[in-house]
Amino acid sequence: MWKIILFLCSGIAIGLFFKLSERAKKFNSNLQLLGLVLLLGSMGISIGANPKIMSNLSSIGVQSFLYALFSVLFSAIIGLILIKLVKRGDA
Amino acid sequence: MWATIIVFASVFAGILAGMFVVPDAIVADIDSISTLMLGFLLFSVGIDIGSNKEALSDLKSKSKMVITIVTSVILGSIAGGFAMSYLYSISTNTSLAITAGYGWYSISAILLKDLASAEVGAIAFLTNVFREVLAFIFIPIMATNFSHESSIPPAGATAMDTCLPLISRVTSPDVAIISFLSGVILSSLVPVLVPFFYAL
Repeated sequence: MWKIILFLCSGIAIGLFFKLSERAKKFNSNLQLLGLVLLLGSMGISIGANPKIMSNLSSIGVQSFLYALFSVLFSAIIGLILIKLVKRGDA
Repeated sequence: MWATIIVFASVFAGILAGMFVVPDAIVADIDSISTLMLGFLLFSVGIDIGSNKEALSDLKSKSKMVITIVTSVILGSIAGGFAMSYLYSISTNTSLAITAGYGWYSISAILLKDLASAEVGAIAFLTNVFREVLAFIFIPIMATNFSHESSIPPAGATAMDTCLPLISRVTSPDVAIISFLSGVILSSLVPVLVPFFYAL
């Protein structure tokens, strides 16, 4: 957990204090894509090699979709209300 | 769009490899490899955030709207987590941790795979992938029918990357900056709030 924050913060520090060339930024972005592909691929391997998940995928699929739908819907509704309130306060 | 294709291709190829190719002995090592990979990925994402000086210095003038949007996403996701916990009788802490991914599927899935189980990690992954897809549908609807700013909360953490071009297209550059900043804050909160909610 703290290792994760440390990785993120040291990256931010480097981005803040070193002026990176456009080439370096492009390289960083490509590296990120490669890292993401490998990360997602290894996650797929963990999922595919786990018979418990594979046999439950149909139920997980519906459940996951509902998780997403409720989160997006409630975020949108609360967003509408709070943004309106903040704008009214400014006016 | 191509990013979505790459994501699905990577995961699908991995799943097939895990089912048919990769021997069990290597599967055990995959976990530590993916944790290491996550570290490097976060480091790289950190460089992206840190090197975007204009966006970070704008934080003061836009902070009110950014905080409003971040609050909406956090509260909305908590509400979604509670609703699902009630519907599926899943423990509240796990449910809240799943919805605290804010659409950042790679990170929240890996975190929950390590903290909870491969199954919870898979739900978190699918949830947050669906969340991004739903955001693509919600963003234009919200921007057209309501205020420009209201198109940002559905995007959650992806407001800084995958959803940003769409938000920028259907709103204005002003709103795009707010979108980026709220996405940055929400993304930084994911690695903190997922373990926090899970530990409740």
